[in-house]
Amino acid sequence: MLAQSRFQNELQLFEANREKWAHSHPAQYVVIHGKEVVGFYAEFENALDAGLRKFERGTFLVKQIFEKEPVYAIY
Amino acid sequence: MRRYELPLHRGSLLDIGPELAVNVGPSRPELEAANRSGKTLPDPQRVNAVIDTGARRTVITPQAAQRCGLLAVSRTKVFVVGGGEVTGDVFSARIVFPSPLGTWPAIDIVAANLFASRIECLIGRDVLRRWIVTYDGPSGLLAIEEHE
Repeated sequence: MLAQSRFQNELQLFEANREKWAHSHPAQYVVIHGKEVVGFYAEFENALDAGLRKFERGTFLVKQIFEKEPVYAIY
Repeated sequence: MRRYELPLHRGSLLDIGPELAVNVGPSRPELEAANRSGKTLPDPQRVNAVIDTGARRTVITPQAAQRCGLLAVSRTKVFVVGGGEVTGDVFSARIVFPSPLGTWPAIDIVAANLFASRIECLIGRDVLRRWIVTYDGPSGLLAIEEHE
């Protein structure tokens, strides 16, 4: 799968709900597979575990929710 | 308190920086999921890392991520000085630090190309927030301490 198309559907769903989720689940991790929102989790490990109990590794999105997408600077 | 001292090597901190070897592999939840389904995942692989207080998050090169058997769980934006802003994968991983330091069983690490060819990983402030790092320039000693 091309890198730029990876998680395209999941990211579209995420962006459509980002503002709402940033208020209801700030800084939490959301797990999305296709059009299904699996759940919201405070810790990355718990989110990953929840996704792996339903889906194969590498097939679902685990993304932390911020109102604005951060750009991580590396010096 | 656990304490790890990198080998005393006068002068190396100037030339190389706070470099340490870590082992990186699939995360603990992925290992547990593999066990449940009777599959096996790669063992952690050695990765050359540098402690980087300038990195908000821990970073790994895409090549090292592939070598370590990591899979992407997300995408994010990264600004690399000298490289500009790019969108890259975020991988789930387990990082095994040198004994007696603990293991991070699951961390989301960002993939980005790095410009020092021998360095494959930057240990960022997401990990450093759990450590006390002593950087002794005159003696060349680097020590890492963490609470048990």
